[in-house]
Amino acid sequence: MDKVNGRKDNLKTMVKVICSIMLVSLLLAGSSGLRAQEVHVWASTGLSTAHNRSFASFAKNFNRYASAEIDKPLGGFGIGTAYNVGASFDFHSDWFGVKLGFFASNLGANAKVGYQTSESRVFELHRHLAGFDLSYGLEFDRSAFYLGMGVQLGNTIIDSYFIYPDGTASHGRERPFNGIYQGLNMGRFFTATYEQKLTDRFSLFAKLSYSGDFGKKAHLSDRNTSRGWTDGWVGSTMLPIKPADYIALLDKPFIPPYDGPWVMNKFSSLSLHIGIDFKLINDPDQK
Amino acid sequence: MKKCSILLLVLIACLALGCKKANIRHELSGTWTIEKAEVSHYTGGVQDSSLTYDNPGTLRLTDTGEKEFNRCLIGLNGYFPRGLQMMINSPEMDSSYVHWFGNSRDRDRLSFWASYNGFPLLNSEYTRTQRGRGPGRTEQWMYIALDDSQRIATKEILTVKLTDGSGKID
Repeated sequence: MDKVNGRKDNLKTMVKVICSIMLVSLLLAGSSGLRAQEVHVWASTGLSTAHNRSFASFAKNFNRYASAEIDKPLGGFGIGTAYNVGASFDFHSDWFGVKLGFFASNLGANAKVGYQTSESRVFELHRHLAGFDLSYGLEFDRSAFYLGMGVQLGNTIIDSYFIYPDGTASHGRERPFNGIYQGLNMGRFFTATYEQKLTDRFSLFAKLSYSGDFGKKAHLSDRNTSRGWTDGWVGSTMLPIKPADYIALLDKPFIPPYDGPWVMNKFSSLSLHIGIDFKLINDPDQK
Repeated sequence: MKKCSILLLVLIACLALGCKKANIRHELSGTWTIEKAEVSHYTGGVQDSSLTYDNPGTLRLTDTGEKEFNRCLIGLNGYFPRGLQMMINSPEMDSSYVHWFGNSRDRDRLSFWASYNGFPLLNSEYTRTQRGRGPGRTEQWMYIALDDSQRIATKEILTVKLTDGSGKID
């Protein structure tokens, strides 16, 4: 319990520090002659990795355990697609700018294992995140370059389902790994953005970002499994052995007694986005 | 002030988009008329027979505001859906013990469960292979059972129509 409280305290402290940095930055920006004049909205899409160390470990052991049956081994989530929308409050001087932004983002990626029997299993990843960031940048005649950082929170879902040879995708509990594994998460990210003005109100931008989740012990868990609702089936064809033992066999780093889910809710992502920015409210001085 | 208000609205919209969680209970509750039940049997993973049952009954998914303790009221004409068979076709159990729930994060799954004193909790899940929208919609729910060698043994597809979307207990 102390460890849990300790982690919560650390998290709260980290959030407070980041929020404080942002507020102080805004105050400094306000008092340094920058004009707080514009509101922008934007949308972007792009590619993103979704690396999860514990899932990579799970995949490695899964492949080893079922090597005789596998046609295409299970890999990581590879490169997924992401969609983002957001808004920012912009402060400008002649050459320097500060942006305080808010955003929502959706990331989707798949990991798949193929069996020799023409069956397959899909691990479908969805991350729904929202957060805010603060960026500082240099502004040129028709372009700008910003560096920023921020925090995000949201939820992560891994939907695991089985596809039979006739193409039927089943989310049912007839196979042990079918389920929806989810958890809340919080993380920080760093960005580098290049903007190019198209018109007075529209600009295109490319954003490179790296994000990583806080914490080390956040779980992704399936509600049914975690409540032991499948225990009545242990020993049957539906569930030959206990999920915990199954996992313990697969994942060597977790040794019995196994007391947690099989994949931790800790992702890191590198993403590249291209988007369009619209100046919703203009700088009154430029009227 | 105007800018701050707009920014606040955008922030709320962003949060709403990022944390969207639709009410799956509201979506699924109501009286579903089973228009057709197709049961396919497999041997060695290969389909060898198929039976169709027309209008075998109704499933009424009640909504009492609970997450997982909403009852499933079953009215069947001699046909037992394969996923619910264990729960309702035994001396110890009857349909009054069957409950249902959905998962907002997995709209493709519909779960049923039942428990009776001293008996293990039974759980089965249907995959919503075809989903619809609005009242009077038709959906398809699929249940799969495996054989001893973990190959598909039975596939049941229920074609169901939402004939009363209220989901409330009278």
